[in-house]
Amino acid sequence: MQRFEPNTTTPESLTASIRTFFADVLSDEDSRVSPFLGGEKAARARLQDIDPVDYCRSRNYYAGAVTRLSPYIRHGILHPEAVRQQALAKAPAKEIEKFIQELTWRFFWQRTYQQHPEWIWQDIEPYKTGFLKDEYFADLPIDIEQGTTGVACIDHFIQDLLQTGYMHNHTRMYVASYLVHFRRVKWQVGARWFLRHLIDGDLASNNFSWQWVASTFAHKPYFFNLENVAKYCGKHVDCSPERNQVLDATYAQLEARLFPKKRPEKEVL
Amino acid sequence: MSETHLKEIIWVHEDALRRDHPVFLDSGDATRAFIFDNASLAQKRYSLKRLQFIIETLIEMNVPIYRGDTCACLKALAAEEGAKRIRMADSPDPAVAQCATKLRKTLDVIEIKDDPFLPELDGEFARFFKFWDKVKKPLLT
Repeated sequence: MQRFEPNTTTPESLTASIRTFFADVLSDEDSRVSPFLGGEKAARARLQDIDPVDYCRSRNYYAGAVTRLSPYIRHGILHPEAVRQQALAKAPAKEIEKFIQELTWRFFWQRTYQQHPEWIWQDIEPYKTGFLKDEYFADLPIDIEQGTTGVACIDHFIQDLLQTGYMHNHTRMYVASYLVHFRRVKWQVGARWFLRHLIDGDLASNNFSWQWVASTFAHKPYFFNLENVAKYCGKHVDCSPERNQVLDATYAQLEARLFPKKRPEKEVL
Repeated sequence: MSETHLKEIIWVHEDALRRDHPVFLDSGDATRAFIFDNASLAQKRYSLKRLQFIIETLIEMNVPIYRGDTCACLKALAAEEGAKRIRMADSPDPAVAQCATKLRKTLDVIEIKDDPFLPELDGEFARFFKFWDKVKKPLLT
């Protein structure tokens, strides 16, 4: 048993002492610290600033009024009831139903996990992509791990993850879909990778969301095109067709390219 | 000494890092400990960002931080302190539950639930929105 004596003189000295104490588990390249500060004080400050009405209007946009409270809720630093009360103090319930509903998702996933712990790393259902699970790769491609895929928007979102430990929920779905459907990698590989970096990484929410994207916990795969990314992120992320060629297609074109063995839905029905 | 006054170790884990969590209520000056489990670290490979976020929180809470085998550490701390009981917050993490089961062979272990956020519900919900329909009324008032 080793006791950790953190050097709290400065933020840099704290980071240095963590890197020394955990030198055997951290790679040499892993030197980035999240801009999210841990602790209740930081959580309370962030809680004061939430705008639940704007959240309901803009949450799907890259620069929307998302609260970024998830790291604090995940670790129990903030009780969700405190978040709900703060939201209700700012607006009547009928104006912020979506905000409170989104707060509830985490508990739905936790409940599902408690009822079916065996689902957490196993495919709940087969992929509905026309591919068998053994046709998916079992390793994380190095260009994805490093955010150097050459697809500009995907690299931007991965850099968010690597540099901050946080991603907007919409961009989590884009990256998950890119990994599973455009690169045909098992969802479990991506789920492990996210859990390594996301400071709000929660096993149930993370893994069931990956299964939803993959289609092993949904009736169809989630995929997207460049037009969709441009709509939600275009002002802040490079969505130029020339730097995102693989995504620049209609949904029908992408479906035919990504899932060539999948039968059309009418035929399935 | 009555059952309620057994000397305790409070096992702090990453699912309950809040000073007003019920696990800390009436705990007096009981020894607290957070343990980064070596096997778990090797498996999860948390990045520096994740580790630092948790550690900053623990520093603010004034909780001592250790590394090692969680069960062995807790047993050693209990022996050092003459404690007979481990008090812990409940957790969805199966590794936490497994450790608690091991600890129960030699120590009293009590799990303290957090204050509920949602009403108790029976049954399974395959889809979120059916679940939401059942829980939304109290949440929207």
